[in-house]
Amino acid sequence: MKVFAALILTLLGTSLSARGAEAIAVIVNIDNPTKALTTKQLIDLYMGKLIAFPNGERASPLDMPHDSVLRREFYQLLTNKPIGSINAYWSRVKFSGHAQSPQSMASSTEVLQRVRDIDNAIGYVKLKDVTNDVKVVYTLAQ
Amino acid sequence: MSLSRCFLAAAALLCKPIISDAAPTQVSGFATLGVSYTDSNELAFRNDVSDDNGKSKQADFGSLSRIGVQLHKSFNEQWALTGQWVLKRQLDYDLDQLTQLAFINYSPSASWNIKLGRSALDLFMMSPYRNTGYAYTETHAPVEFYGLIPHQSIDGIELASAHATDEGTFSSRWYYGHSSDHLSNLEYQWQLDLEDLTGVTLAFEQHNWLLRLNHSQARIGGKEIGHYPQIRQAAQGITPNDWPQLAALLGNMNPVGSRLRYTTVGARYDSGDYYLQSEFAYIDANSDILTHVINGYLNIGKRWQEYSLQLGYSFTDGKENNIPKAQAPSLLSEALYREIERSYNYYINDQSTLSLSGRYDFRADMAAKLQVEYVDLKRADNQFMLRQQDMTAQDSFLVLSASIDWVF
Repeated sequence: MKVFAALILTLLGTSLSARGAEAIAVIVNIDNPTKALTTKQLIDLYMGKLIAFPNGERASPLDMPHDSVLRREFYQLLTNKPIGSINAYWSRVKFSGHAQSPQSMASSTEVLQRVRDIDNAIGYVKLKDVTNDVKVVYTLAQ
Repeated sequence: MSLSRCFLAAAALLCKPIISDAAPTQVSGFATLGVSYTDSNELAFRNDVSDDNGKSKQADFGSLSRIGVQLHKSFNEQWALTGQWVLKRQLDYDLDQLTQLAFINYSPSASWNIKLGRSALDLFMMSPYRNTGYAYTETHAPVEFYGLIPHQSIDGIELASAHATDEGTFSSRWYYGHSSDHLSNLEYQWQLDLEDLTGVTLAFEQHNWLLRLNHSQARIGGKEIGHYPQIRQAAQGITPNDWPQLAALLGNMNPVGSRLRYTTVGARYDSGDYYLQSEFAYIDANSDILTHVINGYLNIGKRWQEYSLQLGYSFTDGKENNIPKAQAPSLLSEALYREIERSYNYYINDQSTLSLSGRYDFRADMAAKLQVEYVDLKRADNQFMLRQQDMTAQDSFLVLSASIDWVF
């Protein structure tokens, strides 16, 4: 009976944590004229199809480490595809010589700092980590 | 070799004035440790017709295994250099053969891109990344579609553009240059040069869909196939009365100078859980040795997070040349007939393959794959597979393959 109860609690816990995944904010430099991005524009930008802001200016997308949970959640929410297929997609683009994958940052702190420093940088962090000196242009949530 | 030297010289020139703005060189790569097993006594699986090695009825670790390293240096937003070197089983291992990519990239805006040097040949959908096993679910690209043209890169110029609208993203790619690789089989290798290679790819992406159209043309250059002079010499032993059509057959047998045309339509759908990819190509030439070939494939797959399962079907079919035989048969005329018939129908390999592939992404940068294929050859003397003896019969057999694929 205890084992059964533990199993129920485990399943319930998994379900709650999945449902409770935190919202992710896509951020740009505070001086960037972009006010908001559409889902399609963000997919184009993060999948190397057209790495530019809506005004045509070149963008410099930032990513999280390959094995990070935030990266997995970001691409799952953005494209509805598992991270394995995203990695396979980028290996196609990159090793064809068509585009370079977004620059990988070590942490959200580094992403925030880079977005503050570089006009055309774009990154993603948890919504709760967003500071006042960057601009949110898109929010992903379950 | 000269291309690599040009690339290095250009790199040195470019590095000097703008090195202060340059980002660090990005080093990345891919590797596949693969094995295949062909359940046939006469034929061995090979990835494409350039492979002159291969094993029947035993494990072959060379057919799929390879390692590639890519260096990318961005000097500023406009200028970059990319080089890629791939080591796999091939005829030559000099720097020119190992170099897959070596180009200077100039991007005047986010929408436009110009590459000069050796870039990926965008002939078919998977052509530019066939070496990167991690990029696809199956252990290798469909042989019936991709096996006939081993060329994967082009020395020349490529212009690419991308434009986004609310409806979708339209991209185009235009290229001109030349490409070289080998056709090989049991008894010979032939360097197939594609000169004046000109092509355009138009692609439209909308939500989960990609539609792609390519048309390319090339003139076959290089030298005549090595043993053709011997065939002509042997033919002197046959009088025109015994084989009236022989002179015309020998005169039209040389493919050098012929113009090849490739037209391809392709589509991909990927919803995350389900995906499909399909391409159909029509290949023809103004030559008696290649009237036309139609080939295609359809892959349908399902993903469960780290696991993928894919069912594939691929085929090739062409218009077979009926070669008239000698009116007065002899041992010599029979041997000549076989060689001439083979030359005229080299590209006509009527066959199909049904495949089942499984993939497990056990790490963010590694995947394990397993594949079983049922190959059905509807015509004898097959050239796609590597013949283990001079003549091969019509046959059906299994090919098993497995691989570990890694990107870094």
